[in-house]
Amino acid sequence: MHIYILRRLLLMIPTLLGITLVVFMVMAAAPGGISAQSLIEGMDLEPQAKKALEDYYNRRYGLDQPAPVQYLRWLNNVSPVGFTLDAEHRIDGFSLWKGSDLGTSFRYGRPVMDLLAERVPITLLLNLLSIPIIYVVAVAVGVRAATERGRPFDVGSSVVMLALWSIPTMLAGVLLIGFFASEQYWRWFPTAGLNRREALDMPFLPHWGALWDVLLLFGAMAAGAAAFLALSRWAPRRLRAGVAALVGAGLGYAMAAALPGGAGWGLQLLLAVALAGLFGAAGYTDFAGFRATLLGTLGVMLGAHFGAGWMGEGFVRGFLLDRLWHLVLPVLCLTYGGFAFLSKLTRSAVLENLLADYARTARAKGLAEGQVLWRHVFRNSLLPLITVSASLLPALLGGAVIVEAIFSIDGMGKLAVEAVQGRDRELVLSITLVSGLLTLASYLIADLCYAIADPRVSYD
Amino acid sequence: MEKRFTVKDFSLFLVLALLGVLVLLAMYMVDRQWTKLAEMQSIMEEQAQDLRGLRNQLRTLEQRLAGGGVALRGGAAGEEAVPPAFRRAWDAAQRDDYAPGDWFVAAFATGLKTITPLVSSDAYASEVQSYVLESLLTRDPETLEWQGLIARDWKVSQDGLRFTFRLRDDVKFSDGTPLTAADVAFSFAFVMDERIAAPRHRAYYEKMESVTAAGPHEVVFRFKEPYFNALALAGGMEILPRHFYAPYLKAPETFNQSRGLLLGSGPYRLRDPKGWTPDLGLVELERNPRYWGPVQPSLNRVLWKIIANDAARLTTFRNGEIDVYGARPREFQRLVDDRQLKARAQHLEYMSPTAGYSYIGWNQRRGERVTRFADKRVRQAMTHLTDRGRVIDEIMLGYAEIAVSPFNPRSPQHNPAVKPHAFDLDKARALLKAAGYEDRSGNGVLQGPDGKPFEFDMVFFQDNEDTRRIVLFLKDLYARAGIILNPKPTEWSVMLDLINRKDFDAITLGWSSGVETDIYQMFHSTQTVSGGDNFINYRNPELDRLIERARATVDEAKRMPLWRACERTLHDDQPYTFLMRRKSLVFIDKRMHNVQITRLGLNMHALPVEWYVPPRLQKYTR
Amino acid sequence: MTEAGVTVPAPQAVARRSYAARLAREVLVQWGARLGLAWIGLLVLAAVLAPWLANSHPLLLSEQGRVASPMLRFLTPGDVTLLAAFLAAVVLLPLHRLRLRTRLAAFAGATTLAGALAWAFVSPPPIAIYEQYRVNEAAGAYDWVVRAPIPYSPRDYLRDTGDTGLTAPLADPGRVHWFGTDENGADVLSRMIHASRIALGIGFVATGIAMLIGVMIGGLMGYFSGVVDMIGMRLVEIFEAIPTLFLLLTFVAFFGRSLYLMMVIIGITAWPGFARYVRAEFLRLRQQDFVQAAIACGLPLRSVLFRHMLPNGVAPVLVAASFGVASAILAEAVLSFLGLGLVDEPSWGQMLNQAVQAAVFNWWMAVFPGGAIFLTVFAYNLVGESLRDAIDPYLKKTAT
Repeated sequence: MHIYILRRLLLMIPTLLGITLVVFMVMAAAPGGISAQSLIEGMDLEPQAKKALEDYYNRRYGLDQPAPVQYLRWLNNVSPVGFTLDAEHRIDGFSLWKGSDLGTSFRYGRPVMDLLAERVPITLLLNLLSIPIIYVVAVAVGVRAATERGRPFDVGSSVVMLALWSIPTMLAGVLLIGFFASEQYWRWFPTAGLNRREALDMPFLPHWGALWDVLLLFGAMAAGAAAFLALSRWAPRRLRAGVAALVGAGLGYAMAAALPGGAGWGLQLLLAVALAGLFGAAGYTDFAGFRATLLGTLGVMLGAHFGAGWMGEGFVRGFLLDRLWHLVLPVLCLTYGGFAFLSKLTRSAVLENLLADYARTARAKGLAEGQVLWRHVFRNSLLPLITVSASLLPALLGGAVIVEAIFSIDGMGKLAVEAVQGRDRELVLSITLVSGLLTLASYLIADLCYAIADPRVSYD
Repeated sequence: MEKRFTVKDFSLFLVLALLGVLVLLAMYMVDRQWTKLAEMQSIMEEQAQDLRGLRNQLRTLEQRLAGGGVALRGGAAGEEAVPPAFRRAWDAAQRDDYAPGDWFVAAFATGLKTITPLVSSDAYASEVQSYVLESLLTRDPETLEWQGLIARDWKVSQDGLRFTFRLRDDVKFSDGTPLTAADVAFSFAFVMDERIAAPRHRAYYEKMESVTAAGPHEVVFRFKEPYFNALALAGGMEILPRHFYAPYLKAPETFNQSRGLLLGSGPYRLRDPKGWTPDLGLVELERNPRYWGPVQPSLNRVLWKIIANDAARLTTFRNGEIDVYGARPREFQRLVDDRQLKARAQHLEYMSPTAGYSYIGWNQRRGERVTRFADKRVRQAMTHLTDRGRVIDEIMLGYAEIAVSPFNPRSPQHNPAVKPHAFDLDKARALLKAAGYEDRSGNGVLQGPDGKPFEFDMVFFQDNEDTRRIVLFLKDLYARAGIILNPKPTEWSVMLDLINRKDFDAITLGWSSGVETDIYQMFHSTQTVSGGDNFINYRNPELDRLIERARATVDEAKRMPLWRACERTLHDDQPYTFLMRRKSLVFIDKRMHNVQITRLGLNMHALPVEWYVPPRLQKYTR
Repeated sequence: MTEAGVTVPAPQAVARRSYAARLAREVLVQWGARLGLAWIGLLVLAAVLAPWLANSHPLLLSEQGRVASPMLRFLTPGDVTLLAAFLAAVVLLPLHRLRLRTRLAAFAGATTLAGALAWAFVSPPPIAIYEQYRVNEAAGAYDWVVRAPIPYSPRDYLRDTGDTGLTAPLADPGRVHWFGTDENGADVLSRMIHASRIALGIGFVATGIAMLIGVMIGGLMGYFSGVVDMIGMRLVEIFEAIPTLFLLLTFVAFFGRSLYLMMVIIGITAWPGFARYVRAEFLRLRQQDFVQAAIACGLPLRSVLFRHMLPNGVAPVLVAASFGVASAILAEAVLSFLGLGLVDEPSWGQMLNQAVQAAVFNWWMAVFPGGAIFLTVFAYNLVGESLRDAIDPYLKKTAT
């Protein structure tokens, strides 16, 4: 196993080299390329000052040298093992532990390492929040669709998932921000950034003025959840669908009424009917887990809403809640494409195993269908999901570019766009290097998970 | 079988992970409390230090009183204590509803790389710095005369090459160190040090020979040659504290790469003068508790949030999270009638004298080839074809005025008798015909004497919506005269590259201007060298002479006629087609009182701070 | 399929055609594929007939008794070629009796000929002043005018109406804009119709390029395996490890923007997927008897690879291609959305960008162009999905 990991790590090196080489070649071959001149912005300079600035940049970044030399210089700086240089950039020794230096960004005038240290955690936060959501939804929907193959849930979910998968992230982002974070429609969410300025001065966790308020809020939430869960669990189908539809209609009417300009009766009716249909369907469905989750969430939200309304003064949102509130829309944008794709994959994987001989054997042994599904089939269906998880990260990183651009989040994706637009060589190289590293690491992790999940696989 | 990973294991891992997350959250919370405590501690220490200083002062005062050694000043002490620079702020502070307190929150459209003086290059950083750093003189916003800020008074030598400033003796930097002439001399020496990455500032102070401290509170500026703007150069130099910046001469790279090394004597300060980083997403200045000025700044804090997206910026303004929003014409027109916005914001439109003008530059020599724009008649015809009135009406919605020349129409540099070339299709056609351009093939496009169609590329900055619209409009306008314009939207760095190589036909850009505009960089023929600002290769020996004479004339009465002669030549030559001067269109939160439009523009960032928030409207301080 | 893989050409061709026909039938019975193909067909129609559907130049007009068609006069060689290609396809498609190859050759020949003729003889005036017709009509200069259904060209910024800009659909009583106008005042529906050309073009050409590179590299990797495979896989891994969007951004930012460059760039960044599929397929096929037989016969490598192996391994590539077209269209939209796309050329992504660029949310700029992107991507995904279901024998068996 260790040898395998070591081999994989060693194999990563040529790949990483290749990645940087590809990117460097693109940049070096570009017309205009990178010159000290293109770095000097601002036009209020006398010519001699411009020359001085150009020389300064040339000295600093060696831009006047041929591209291969620049690349080798950069490579030597980046790799932790390599030649050490003196002040005049001449080789004066070889070191195994000289440390890696990603260089300085042209545009920001700051070490790339610092920039990445600021930005990468934000993008990782977005991704780490997204991945569990993606997997939970994908597994729930995919397994259900496979067990009900050919029935309405399967057909419906596969169409919906394919449609979700086809929605461009930017369209989703634009629509969400346009309707749910704008003054013109509903201002439920913030438009930009990851927290409000005030939140920096708040305590980390939410804070209440009185103990009574805490009890009130949580009590209301628990009551709401309990009521709707009970409805979902025990009420007959007609009743629960009817109640859910009624609540949905009420919410739709409230939404229309909350529009700043006021809404015509047509819009009110439309929203009421749409939400009634949505919640009614949620109440109607046989899929107990799905139903309970949806109705339970609805209950909690209603409880929280009324609880917050009854609460006294003195509630402070706190940094954590504020941050979460800012994260809702971006994470939504990042996840839907992922779970749409994965749920289709889960469905076909589970389906394949459900029809396999060993599943039939298990059933013949007299095991309950649930046990067959979760103890035998699901474990085996995990394998393709694990394999795919490796390619999820590059996709999410790419998606982060768009999401961060739309929601003005200062993460790595936005940095990448800025770096590329500013032709910031060091930054572009480092970002591709880091994203390549992350991707290769996720490949490795996926392979290891594969080995853990599948005892047949051995890497020795 | 033992190795199998069961659901039980999974839930165990889940619980462990949850526990881990909780521990992390708890640690984070404790950490935040620590930083808060540390902040409070540092504030307390500072205050204790100040209290000690006050006690000392009191003690000496007591001793002096006891010794009877204090000569009381005249009865006019209160009046005399307000120097002219503080007059406007003082007047504001005397109003009935004046109260100190509250914050002013603005927004920047792009992230700042650094706010360290000299290293930073954008206007945003200098806006921040203007609250922290002070200079010897300031300009009076109404009379536009220079008046002393840190300088008590100043003398100019007969030949105009020597400026002697006497400094106030009560000025302190925000860390309590007194400001002396040595700091002023150091500021100049620091800029001029080759190791500091401030080539732009070095070029700016090129005409300055030396700055020396003639005493603890007297400083002498010497110039190499007479220069009309010498006083502005000397008086406008920002004073850097020597004790804070001098150590960086030993580690210039640390300084050049720093992000937030900012300390000065101004009314505001960074809480930690070394600790600002761009990842905070905002710049926050707090009131300088040791501000020396006779009028303390009214606002507790000044904040800039960084919101790149236009729509997001407007939304944050609507939500009341920022206090000022600069709108584009179309938005402005729509928002002025917005009920919601009316309730909480006042809107202002004004012509800022420093906003400058936009223009189309006609390149006269591309590479080795002389272009068709080298012909004066062609350039005049292009100006006649550019229906600036319609551009302003339809794209700027009237929130702009036609630019006649590089000089501000309200300054004495401009001769009111010079009127803009009118839109005149027939005259343009006649001029073009005289220059040899006619539609010979009958397909609607003009051909030159060489038979080539009149077609050119127009380079412009891609990310400005108004510019994009203007260029598309010009395309349709020129098409009527049979001229094909190909829009070439370009990103900033590529555009700079094109400008450097002078590899374009026409370009639309803008120049900002000062109170008195110097046109040496744009139009003098020495500036046609690579990297110079005369990137359109315009040469006119007569104009060169006029510019040189104007720049060397210190006497304003003699200088203005020279500028007007320059203007006349430029107007006839049309090296640029001067497009327009835009109005500034802003919305300001109604909390802000004493918002005024002065001859220098809005008094938004006027220092000493003139705005204030009446107590009942204060939002951030209770 | 294996028994068909002998060297006798005729049965092979028959078998292949019947396989293709069977595949087509199986795809077409699925309603998802039908809907998807219908939408794509609609787009193709819109793209081909764009000058007839949305044009400021009247289709026909009579000026003092003289009848003229400004629309025809302003037709570009591109328009003509596209129309000719479309007509050729319409004529050739129902001719079942001709072999596929013959039909393809006839199509290519007709298109090339039409293109050459068009470029030689069609030369529209270089300058178009769109508002002249409206001005003249208002002045009563025409006896009668027949206008296009959407009487606005994509670059007609309505200069005769003064201030123009973003207006909501049907907000202007004087003019009819079904989908509103964009920031410059151009009709959104007209721009969308003309933009379908770019979307389709990018989709097909970029995927074609990616497929070409992918099949070449993947085929070589699969056939030779060993060292070639090792190196090839590293190459694939390199291109896969860089998030595609980063790579695209870098390419576009450094090489500038033009339609053709964008096609090439999207193609270059999309090939590794195809290479993987083809490699896997070829690795499997290499073991099979008919390939071994072909090798044993001493056929040249070219023949083994492209005549024997490729037709048998092409099915998964088709599936990937269908999804590839969708992602190529998406890639163009993303680039335009991030402000790195084409300028002045109508493009869906660039229009979508305007929904948030202006300070107020302009829903029609988000819903219509965004909806077009979504529907197109959805259509290709539906087709791809159906194709996969039709090809995958295992799922076919179980899809009961």
